[in-house]
Amino acid sequence: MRIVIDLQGAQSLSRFRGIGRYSLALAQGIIRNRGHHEIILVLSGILRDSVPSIVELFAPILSREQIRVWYAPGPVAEIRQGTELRREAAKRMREAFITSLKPDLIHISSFFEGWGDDAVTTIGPYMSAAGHEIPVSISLYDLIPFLNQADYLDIIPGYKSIYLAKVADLKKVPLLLSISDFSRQEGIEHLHIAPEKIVNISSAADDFFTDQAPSTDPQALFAKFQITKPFVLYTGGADARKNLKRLLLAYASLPIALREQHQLVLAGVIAQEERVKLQDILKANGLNSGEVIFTDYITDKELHTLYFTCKLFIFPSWHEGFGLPALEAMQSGAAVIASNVTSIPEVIGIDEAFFDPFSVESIAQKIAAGLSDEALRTRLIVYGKAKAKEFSWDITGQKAMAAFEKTYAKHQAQLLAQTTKPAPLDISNAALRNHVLNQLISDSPDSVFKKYKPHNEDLLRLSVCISQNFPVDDRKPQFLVDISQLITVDEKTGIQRVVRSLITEFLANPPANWDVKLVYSDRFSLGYRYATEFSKQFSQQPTRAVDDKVDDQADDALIETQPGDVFFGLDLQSENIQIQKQYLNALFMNGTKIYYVVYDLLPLYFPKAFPETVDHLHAQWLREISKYDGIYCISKAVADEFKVWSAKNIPTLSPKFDVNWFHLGADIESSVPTTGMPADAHEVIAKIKARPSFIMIGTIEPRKGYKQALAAFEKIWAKGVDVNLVIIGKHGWLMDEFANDLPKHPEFGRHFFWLNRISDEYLEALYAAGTCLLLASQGEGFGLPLIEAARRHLPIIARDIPVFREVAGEHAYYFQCDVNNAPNSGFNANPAGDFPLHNLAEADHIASSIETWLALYQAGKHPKSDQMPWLTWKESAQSILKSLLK
Amino acid sequence: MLASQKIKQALKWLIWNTLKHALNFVNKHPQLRRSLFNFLRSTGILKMLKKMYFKHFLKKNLPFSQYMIGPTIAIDITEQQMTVRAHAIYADLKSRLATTQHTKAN
Repeated sequence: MRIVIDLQGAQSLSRFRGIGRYSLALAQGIIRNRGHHEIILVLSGILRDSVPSIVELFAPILSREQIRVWYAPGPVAEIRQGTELRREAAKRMREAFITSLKPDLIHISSFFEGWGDDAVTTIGPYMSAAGHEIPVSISLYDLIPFLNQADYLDIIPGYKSIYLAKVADLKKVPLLLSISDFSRQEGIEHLHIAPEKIVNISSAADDFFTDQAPSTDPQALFAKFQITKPFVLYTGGADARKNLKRLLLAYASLPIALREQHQLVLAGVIAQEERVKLQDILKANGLNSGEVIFTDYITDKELHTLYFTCKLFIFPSWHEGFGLPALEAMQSGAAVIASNVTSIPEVIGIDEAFFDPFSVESIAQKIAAGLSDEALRTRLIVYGKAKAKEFSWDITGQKAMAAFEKTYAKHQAQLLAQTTKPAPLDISNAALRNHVLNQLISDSPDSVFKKYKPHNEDLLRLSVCISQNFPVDDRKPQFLVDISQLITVDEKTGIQRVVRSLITEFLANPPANWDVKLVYSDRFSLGYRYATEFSKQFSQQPTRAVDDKVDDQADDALIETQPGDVFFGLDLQSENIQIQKQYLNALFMNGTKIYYVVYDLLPLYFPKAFPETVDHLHAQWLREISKYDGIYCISKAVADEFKVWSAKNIPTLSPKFDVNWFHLGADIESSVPTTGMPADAHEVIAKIKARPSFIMIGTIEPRKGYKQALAAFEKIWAKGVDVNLVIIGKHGWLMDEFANDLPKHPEFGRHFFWLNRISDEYLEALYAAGTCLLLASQGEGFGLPLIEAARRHLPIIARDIPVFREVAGEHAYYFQCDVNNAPNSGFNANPAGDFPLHNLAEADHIASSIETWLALYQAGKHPKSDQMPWLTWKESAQSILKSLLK
Repeated sequence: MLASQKIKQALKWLIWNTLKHALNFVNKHPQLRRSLFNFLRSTGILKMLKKMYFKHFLKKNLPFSQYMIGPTIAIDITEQQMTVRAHAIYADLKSRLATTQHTKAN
């Protein structure tokens, strides 16, 4: 059975009240006890503020595909003028959306919503189409407004007719889940509902309310609220049925000696006008300020501490649907006394605790007994704790599931018993979309636009929502690959080579049953667009597409997503996410999975190796992407670093956040290589081949260790050792002086070469001409040159850091620098550490390592890279797809 | 106070004051106002200005702001900001309205 729970009771204004907490806890109890049944939560996108917290709350027990959001233009509150058209449209949209989920049963968490907020709850004709009725269940909390119309309905113009219409609808559904036996009896007695249609599933207090220890420091809390004596506690509202007036009168009538030893604490928000009335009662009855304390808003933790520390908890209400505060207090170990009417006795269960709520004298007597009779207090505490154990959300969830099963079975039996079978109903998205359009505008006098005239803005917004609510039927899920940076400019960085290589593979070998789409965004407008023109050109001529900006992007359409699509943030575009976070959050909440590729955390580990604020921007980017489904790091070392960094810096990181890693490919020919050789290429290559040549590859920037390496070679050259140092990399950042001085070096052009911004074709030739790859970098995300060298059987000397060990294993010769000065040993454990850069003391270590390696090389005993395992870009891409789209 | 700060403050004041006067003037001339806003809206400048405004002054660039309907931009939505399917639905709605002749849509 597929059960769809409409959870607007936890989204509307009720979310701040008991109904909201009940709706959430019941849904959790149902999900935990769902057995083989499927549960789908439905949320309203109009009440958007509540969606993220609900998604987060249910993440441990429900996949995001099972939390679905429907959209309609708001506001739609009944109390607001001019919302009729939107409200009527929203009602139809909601019903058709729920129908599209093909539910076997629908449960509505709270039906009496939508007066002062934007909730929409109906049991409309589509759900009850003849022969295709979907059984509907509704939570029945109480009938307090219905039974006390003068106090609750007559005073609000317009509300009464809406409330009574909802009561009439309530009578139509096959199942009501009451929160207490008392509210069940009210339904039977006052609404004349057949007893078998109302099931008492009861309620429970959150496990958070325990009798083990207070949740906050009691002394600090007492100081905050000026509680100086043992106290009687009340919590809840201040409307008439809560009976606070009689409570104050009863408290005032206590013997002065007893009052002097105690205080009365009224915890929670009490509206100003009610408070004034209560304070007038205090004055009129000789109660001094300080005897009665109004706390105003308190947190759940503070409330628990008050429950835990009070001498007596009192609950004088004369009409409740359940009486949750009393149960919370009992569970927290408080002695509870309460009124003896409505649902309260079934919650508390011990006669000694009760008083007549309509008698001031009775209330006063029970308070006096509770405060002065220690034996009574002990009995109330012991009994209360035992009684509280009878209530649990799992028991409530099990009762609800049993009621659903019974109702569904009965419904199925009725369908089977029908002699004439109804014609099949088309509930495809296309049919439902047409149905909604017909409901909005048709020749029928009931169509929404016949009653209320739409404006163009209405049509635009409705179209957007209809399109989102009823996606294309049987569409393949999309694999959306973000190339926002590459489409703007190809900087020919290592990252962009990765992007080019992977999109080549994704497009050439798309995963079965998925549509691969390249997408991009800009910094000026919300939303991502399909990179249609770029994809076309890239597929035909990859090099040209990335070299020449595609000019026809203006025609690219906005992306359209459905639950189950995957967004893959491949390109590093840390600024876009700040602009697009609204959009990405909306995609995420709508069921699109969002993953990002993390290339490194270097700006955080080496803040001084990057221009100012890069570390801040990088941290901000990591924090943003950590709100989604997961990341793919380009090495295990980066994944480990992220885990260490996030543990300290993102305390709110979801335990379900998926930290994956993969390895890059090494076949340059599959990375859309650039071509072209300079005029002096042959001469340079000849010089490099003439003697042992050490090749260093990478942008000239502080972390790469170029200064130390050059200083090491100066020492080697000074000893007369005939070797070359070849630096291949563009002029980067924070190394201007060093880079500008390179061409002036005395060995430049003889033993020392710097090749700036060369093509992949030239790089290939240099790899072939070199003797050894030297990687002196203090930190890398992966170290792509390692495997590119291994592929060409070029031996490797590398700094001993985790990522190089991970990639090269035993197939490289490692050098270690002074542990006091180098970051190697503690790299993973010390994020944001102040690692020394350009430590020229390292030059001796590097020089001696090179000399040792040369001796091994000449003896043929140096580590060989031939056997180092490496992936092709195809394998690299497939490894991502295999785990991401599983 | 540093001279640069004084200049910055003076510039800010000048910009805001000019803007205030300009808006006051425009508000007093409805025809001009309509034309100006239509131009700003059609070119996307209005949305950009609003976005800058919300981002920098009202901190409105928060997840699930009231300016989004799900993954779609709702603030001053135009046809250009709609997906292909949304656009088709919009065209369908307009055409139905035209045939049933119950429209105020423009």
